[in-house]
Amino acid sequence: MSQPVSPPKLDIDTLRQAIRKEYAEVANSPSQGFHFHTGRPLAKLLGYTDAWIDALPESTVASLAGTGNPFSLGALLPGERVVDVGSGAGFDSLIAARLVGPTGAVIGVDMTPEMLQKARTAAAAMGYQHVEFRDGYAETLPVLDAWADVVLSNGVVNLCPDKLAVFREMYRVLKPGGRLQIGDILVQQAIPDAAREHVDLWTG
Amino acid sequence: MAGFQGFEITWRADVFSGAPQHTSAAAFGTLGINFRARKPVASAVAL
Repeated sequence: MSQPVSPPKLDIDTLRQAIRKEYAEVANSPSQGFHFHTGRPLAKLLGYTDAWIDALPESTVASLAGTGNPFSLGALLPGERVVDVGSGAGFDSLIAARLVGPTGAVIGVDMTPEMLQKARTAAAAMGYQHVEFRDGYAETLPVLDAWADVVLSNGVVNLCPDKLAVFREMYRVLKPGGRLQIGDILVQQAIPDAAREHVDLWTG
Repeated sequence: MAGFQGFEITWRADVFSGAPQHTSAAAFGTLGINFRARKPVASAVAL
């Protein structure tokens, strides 16, 4: 956690384009093999229960590409409002929707059209009307101030160069007393500036 | 961290080993983690 907070010097649009391309492939061809694990084996590795996994459409499970398990960090309660930052194919958003129930609400935010489409299709297939997937960036969440009881994210903050901007947005959308529950990555060795500015290393 | 309190890492594990494609994760000692924090009840403005 001693890495510099200042964003690396790289073109944000180029990076986002590369990330969109990578995760469009995770959405469309999840079994092709990536530099990270995906799908049901990953869900088991991260400690998701069979009951939660089995309740989801298989296409949603197949495109899981997280690095942790936000639900291990605290229970979601019926009626709560949840924002899932970088919601991908909807894996965590749909579990959250099940946990908060129809008196709650879930907003998933993602920047990859193929993931958004896949998540919306899954939500419709499950009959969930209290989960919504919005196009947007973690640094500028399309969510009202102090709307959420809980902000979730899984394997996404590490893909954002300006992490302070991301956490400020998460702070903004949380109610006072709201909870941040995140799965992501920890880098134990210093990354040279040159590497931080190399787009390929961000996606692989 | 942007005004949050109670930051806590609760779990860490190697989640990249054995991935189908080569990854740079091992070179930097990259681990998957779970962490949590809370927005203070009495604070409304991010630092």
